[in-house]
Amino acid sequence: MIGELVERCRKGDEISPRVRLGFYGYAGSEVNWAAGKFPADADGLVSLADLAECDEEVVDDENEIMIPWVVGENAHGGTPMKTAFEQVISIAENFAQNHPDSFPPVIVNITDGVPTDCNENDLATIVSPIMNIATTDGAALVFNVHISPDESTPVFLPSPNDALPDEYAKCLYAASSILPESLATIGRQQHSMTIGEDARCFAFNADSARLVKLLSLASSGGGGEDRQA
Amino acid sequence: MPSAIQIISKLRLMKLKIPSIGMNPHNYVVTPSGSNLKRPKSWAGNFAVVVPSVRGDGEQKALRFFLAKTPSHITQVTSFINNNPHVSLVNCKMFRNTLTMKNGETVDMMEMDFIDGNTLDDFVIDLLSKGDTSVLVDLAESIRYTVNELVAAGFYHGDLSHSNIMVADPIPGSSFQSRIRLIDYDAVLVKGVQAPPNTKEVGHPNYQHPSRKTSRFTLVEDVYFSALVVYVSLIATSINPKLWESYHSKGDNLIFQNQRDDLRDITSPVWIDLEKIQSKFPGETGKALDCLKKAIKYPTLEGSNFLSEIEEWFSLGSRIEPSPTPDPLNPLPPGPDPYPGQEPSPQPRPRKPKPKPTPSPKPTPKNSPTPSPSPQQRKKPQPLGPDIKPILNRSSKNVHEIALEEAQERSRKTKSELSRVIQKWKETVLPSKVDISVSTDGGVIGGQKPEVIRPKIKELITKADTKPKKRKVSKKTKKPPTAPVPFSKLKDKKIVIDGTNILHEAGQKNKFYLQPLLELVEQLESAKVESINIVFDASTPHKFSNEEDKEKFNELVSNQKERYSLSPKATEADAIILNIAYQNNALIISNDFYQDYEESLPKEYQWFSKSHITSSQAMDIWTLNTTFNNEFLE
Repeated sequence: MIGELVERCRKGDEISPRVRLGFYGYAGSEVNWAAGKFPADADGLVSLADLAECDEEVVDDENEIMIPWVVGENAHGGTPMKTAFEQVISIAENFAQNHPDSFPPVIVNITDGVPTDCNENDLATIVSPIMNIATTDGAALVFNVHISPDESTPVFLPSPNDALPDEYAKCLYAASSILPESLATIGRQQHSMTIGEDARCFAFNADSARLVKLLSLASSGGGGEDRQA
Repeated sequence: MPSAIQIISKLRLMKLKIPSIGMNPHNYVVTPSGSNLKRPKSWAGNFAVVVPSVRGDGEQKALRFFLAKTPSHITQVTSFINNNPHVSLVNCKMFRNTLTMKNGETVDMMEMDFIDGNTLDDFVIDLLSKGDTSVLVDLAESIRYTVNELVAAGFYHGDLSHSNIMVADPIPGSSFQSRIRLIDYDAVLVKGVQAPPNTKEVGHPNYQHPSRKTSRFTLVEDVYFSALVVYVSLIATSINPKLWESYHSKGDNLIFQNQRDDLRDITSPVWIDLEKIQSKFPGETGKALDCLKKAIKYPTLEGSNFLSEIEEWFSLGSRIEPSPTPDPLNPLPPGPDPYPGQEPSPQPRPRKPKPKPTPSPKPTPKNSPTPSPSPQQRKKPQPLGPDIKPILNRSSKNVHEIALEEAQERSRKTKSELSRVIQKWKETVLPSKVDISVSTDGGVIGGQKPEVIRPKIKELITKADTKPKKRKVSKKTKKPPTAPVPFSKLKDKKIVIDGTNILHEAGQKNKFYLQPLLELVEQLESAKVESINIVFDASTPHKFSNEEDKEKFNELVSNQKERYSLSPKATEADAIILNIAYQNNALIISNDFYQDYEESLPKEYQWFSKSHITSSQAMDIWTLNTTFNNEFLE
């Protein structure tokens, strides 16, 4: 996903400084900056131009993709999702206030587990303040991406009546933004994606490159948009 | 559809070498990035990744890989450019399926001439850093002229912007206008396109009227609106470079920005600053400002007075010469209307497309600064039409006198060229209100829908399947002499196509692709054939290279039964084709010679032998030939 963003912003030998990202990992009982070699700026974000300098790569042989290795693995202990959401809310709020004309912040929560610091049923309430953050270009979006070794059918941008693999998926689904119609249209028209009415920004074991496709089209033309992951 | 990182990774795995593949005889070495020799230098947009390269024969080429669906009308755009060369259009060729991804997905590639130069915004930044604002007027005028010429020729660039207009490095002795290049043809509409393009590209939002929709073609209004945005930005910056400092954001716009509502609301900050310098717009350029202002107030451009307003000056007026140094203390007065009290319909110069220019400017080291033309160069008369004298001294009072004389001379003619062009365009391209959702039925826009032969397949089978034989797709060894068949000779003819054979011809390794067949159909439609009927073998759906094509094929066969017919299982399509052709006096397009039917269907075979056309596809272009004789050509 980072690699795709970098390639999308490349203009010859330069990287167009259109996107900033924040990487926050949550494990044990802490939420920490997760992009070790690339320090965060005062806003708690890092410019894509800095990330493009990444010279460590992993090769995904299965898909023949060279992925920049920005975020190391650090899974242990608990899953303090509530704390993570709260921290990212403040970063997104701060960003939206300072960049009111920008593309709104997008929060992508990637998880393989169930929160350990709150009840999973409370997730929708916990993320609700994020959905009140907006710039002139629209409201902030929350994408929840659930990765699981479970072999259930992948789900991407499901609509209210679509089947979800389990109860926890339903909680994450409820804590995900409704996909704006403009994004849905782009997905359907440009990428032949099947997206139903009132689809939500939720993916279960789905290819994250598809998500980037949506986002990069959505932000086209907008100046200085920022995203967080 | 592939992602940008997939394409870049693929090129890296190929060690930046693209071998000759399919119809493309060339190989390429992709130019590496300055910071990492293992990865390509690349530019990405929403729809494509572009990499510079050196072709096997040493030519520099830009290679464009499509990230979204390749626009369906792109072949028509490329062939338009080949047939109507213009110095500002970049030669390009489509090559299908150039890269194959690990998952089997293929990526189309467009090969384009490489342009040594700068995008419009970078060019302006360069000028401003040197304090050289005088070139901006010439630049604006050159773009205006280029757009007018291309509209007159039938080329409507639907996405004019800072990044799709380039200024090539100068070639000594050539005019400034000859340096303008338009790139990115995804949203282009060209004269004569019959079926609506599937591109949903609506152009860069910082250059488009808010009423621009995805559900229709590019309109001439869209082209002029975006050209006005560019033009006014450049003229305004030449008067007050501070506007650029305040309103330009790098890589995103010139001075107008959609997010600030600059193209919706003429009270936004940039407009307040423009009001202040309005009286300083040189000569008639102030009219462009007025025109843009009015256009923004229209809820929709289509059907508004916008076109007639554009016609008042922007699309016709004589060239404004650059002033060497803008003089804010003594600005040129707005000036009287050069055409006082008379019908405002001066004729534009009828400008024929220029002969093909030398394809690509001499490669220069990328880091060399872009030299600006010297004032002497700029003073050189621009290539104006035969009936216009260049106005060399803008401060002379003769400017308006000359303009008046010219206008009077031209006013004898009653209808302006532009009106004709627009009218013609509307007639040939857009006879009805174009909204793809309502006018795609049958895929025909413009002209009458060809009458369709309805084959009575069941009837035919009983007559035809006397002796089912194994299909032979391969050409017979004994081949009679051939003669080329121009598409134009097929006007008003009925055509029957051996669909499976054509798919085979255009396919690769026995895998079928639908697009080439659709292109052949489009070409036939453009030639105004009376009817087209395509018959396929029952097994055809199983031979498509991908699910998408197969699905599309099945849709065609079920939704357009009058044109696309699948022969029933266990029957020969060949016999059906021969029968339909015989009964309807139709010409047959197939590379099969049907010799097996000489005895079993003698009359049909005899008709066939007088009506046979073979087809071949190379470089995405279909060529037709006759075989036995070419009586029907006469």
